[in-house]
Amino acid sequence: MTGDAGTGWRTLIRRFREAPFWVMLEVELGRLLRSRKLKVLLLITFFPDIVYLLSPNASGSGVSAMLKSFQYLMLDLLPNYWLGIIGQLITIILMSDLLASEIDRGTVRLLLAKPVKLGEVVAAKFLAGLGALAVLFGVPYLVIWLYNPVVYSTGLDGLKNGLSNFLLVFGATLLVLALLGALTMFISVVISRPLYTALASFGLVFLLQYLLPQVPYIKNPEHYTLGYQTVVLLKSGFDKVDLSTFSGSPTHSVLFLLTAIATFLLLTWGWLRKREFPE
Amino acid sequence: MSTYLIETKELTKFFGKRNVLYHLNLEVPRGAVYGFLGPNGAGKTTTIKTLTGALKPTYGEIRIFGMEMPRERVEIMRRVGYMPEVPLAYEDMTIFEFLVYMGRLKGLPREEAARQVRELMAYTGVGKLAFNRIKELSSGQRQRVTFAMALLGNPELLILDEPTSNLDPLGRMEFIGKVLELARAGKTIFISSHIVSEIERICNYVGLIKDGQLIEQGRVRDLVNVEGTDYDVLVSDNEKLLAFLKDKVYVREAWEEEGTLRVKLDERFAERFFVELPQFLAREQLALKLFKPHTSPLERILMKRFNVGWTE
Repeated sequence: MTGDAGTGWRTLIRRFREAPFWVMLEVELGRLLRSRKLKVLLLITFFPDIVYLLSPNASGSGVSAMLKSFQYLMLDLLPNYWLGIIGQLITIILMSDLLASEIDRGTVRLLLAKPVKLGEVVAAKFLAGLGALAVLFGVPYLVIWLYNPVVYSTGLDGLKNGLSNFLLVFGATLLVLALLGALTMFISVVISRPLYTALASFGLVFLLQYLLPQVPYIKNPEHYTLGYQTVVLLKSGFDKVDLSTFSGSPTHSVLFLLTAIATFLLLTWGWLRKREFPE
Repeated sequence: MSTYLIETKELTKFFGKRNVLYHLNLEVPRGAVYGFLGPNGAGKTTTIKTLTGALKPTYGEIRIFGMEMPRERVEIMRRVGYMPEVPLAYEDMTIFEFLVYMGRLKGLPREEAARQVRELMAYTGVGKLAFNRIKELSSGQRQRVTFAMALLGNPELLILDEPTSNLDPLGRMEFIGKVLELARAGKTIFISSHIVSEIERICNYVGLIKDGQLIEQGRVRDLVNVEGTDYDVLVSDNEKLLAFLKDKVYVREAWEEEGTLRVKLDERFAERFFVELPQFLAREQLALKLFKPHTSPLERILMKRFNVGWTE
């Protein structure tokens, strides 16, 4: 019985790994990770780590001080750097290329001439982009999480206690960037040119976050920035700092982000199905 | 079940207000090598893009293997190999990586894809370049790679769009040989080109397209009944024949060109030429070494149907 179940699982896994969705995801992610663009972008996302590694400025000692320091550091860097203008630009640059370059260079016709569903193309490209973003942002976060116990001399205990904070920051980042990525992918199938997609996406994101809220009668304009929403998400696990000034429920933010991501992906798929590829 | 592997009914395509395909009724029988001939801009590539799902018909119907395109694109494409006009590929990948990727998307397991890729790279002549990046290849080499891609998964139907446009003359000859091999293996091949001699050597069916309209379609042997008026003749004494032809009412022009006589006939009296020539040769005891139409049968069809070269 166990043997049969094992064989069944192995067959299922083998079939999954041979499905076009997985093949595209695997190949696309590999291409992204090998690309020069990713290495340059990684230098940019890693920059705050270099500063931190050179001058960690430990304030106190012990696990509690370490966690407090990690949370303060992330509250400073996340809205202002990693998920501020720079992080958003990085996401847009990466995601705008995934589908638009296929359409622009005509290689999408190769995919259409294969037994591949358009839904699989969208899902694989999106997840490959998200995978690359996970590396771009995960590596700097990981380094800080690993380095902090050294600075605060907390050893394995510090590592263990810091894990949930690290995962929370990483998860929140991915969720927020996934929204931006899904929006960019939708714009990319409409515009079809990587550069114009990047410009249009950045223009739209900038407009929505920084210009529209300036319209009179919009209360608390800062609430509409991705950085703010990230901090709202962090409220669910950051207990060493006072985040009461950030109104909003993490659950609501998660639901909103997931719904928006799914909507943009569906719109991308719908648009792709509707459009043609004459060039 | 239809006997046609590819069948379009009233296929029409507009780009905005511009009509690029007009009531196209293609009929490609199973096992045929179908040459899709037409001048540049006639609508060949648009037709192929519509057949492969990159474009959608404005109206009309496409059936491939009896299934409807683009509604059943995924099912259809399991059995089709497509070679695009521009040798598209992912520039940053090596040939081997690219072809394995394409093979896996075709539904082949990784090991089987790799095995077929090794075979096809050798078959198409890019075996030694396996680990070169696509961006390092010449356009001819890229075309060979896309030909290998089309053959992955042993498809029943091959759709080849201008497959030799980037190949050198030797490469073209090699390609023609391979297509003939594939035809003998029972594959249905739909091949678009504007090179008549190529189509003539490969195809047993032909469709002629002009300004988005299919103006002729059928078996090559059934279509080739258009008489020529231009002949190459070589006899044991060309000068004697030239003197005989001079002032004949059915000869519009006759001259010697690189040891062969070129005879241009007046269509109205051409029959008299065919009666008198053998009589003259017999009377003068001249040996006929060569007698052939100066243009090929397909060229003649094209010239007639496209109104090229028939008026002075």
